[in-house]
Amino acid sequence: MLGCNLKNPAMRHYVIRIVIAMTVYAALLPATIVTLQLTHPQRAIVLALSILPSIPIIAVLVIVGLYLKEETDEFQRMLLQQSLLWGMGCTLAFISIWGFLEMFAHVRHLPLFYVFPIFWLFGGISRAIQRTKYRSGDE
Amino acid sequence: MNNRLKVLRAERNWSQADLAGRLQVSRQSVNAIETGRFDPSLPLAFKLARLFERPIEEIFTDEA
Repeated sequence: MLGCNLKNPAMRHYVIRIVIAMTVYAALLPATIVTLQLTHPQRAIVLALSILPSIPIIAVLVIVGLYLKEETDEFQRMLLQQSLLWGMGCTLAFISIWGFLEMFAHVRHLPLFYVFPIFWLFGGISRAIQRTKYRSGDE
Repeated sequence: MNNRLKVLRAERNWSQADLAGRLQVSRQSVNAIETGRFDPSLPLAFKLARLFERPIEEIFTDEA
């Protein structure tokens, strides 16, 4: 959703944090799956392990918040805020429509963990549209 | 809001990237302000005024 100008300190921090969060996620998710399949732990442990992969996902939201706090370029902040709003709006619309389709038309169930990537997909589309809209014409 | 940024920049022979560097913003931001697609905040407008040594109202003009 963000452009990648690593000369910008806020962006550099953002990229480093995202890489860390995604690395943790990439390690936690298979570790959780394997642990649950091999050990068949008690219910409380299953609940705790199930929540584990969502921690780096939640961290991504915090990282985006930190970027907005650290970014000194108000135009870049505004662009990200707009794409976040479009991402949220489109996701809410999409899951509302899908929910009714599930209920009345019996379409395939959409697991809730898809909501987060769908949000980033819509946010990314919004960012691409912004890039076209604000494409620098001069120089 | 209209502005005279392009003229003021040309008078100093600055590119958008030069101005962006002086303002510590991206070139995309300078372009968006210059083309009237983004109105800067008061602090950024004051920064521009100081940089061009002009009052804000000589740089930005209300369309109304």
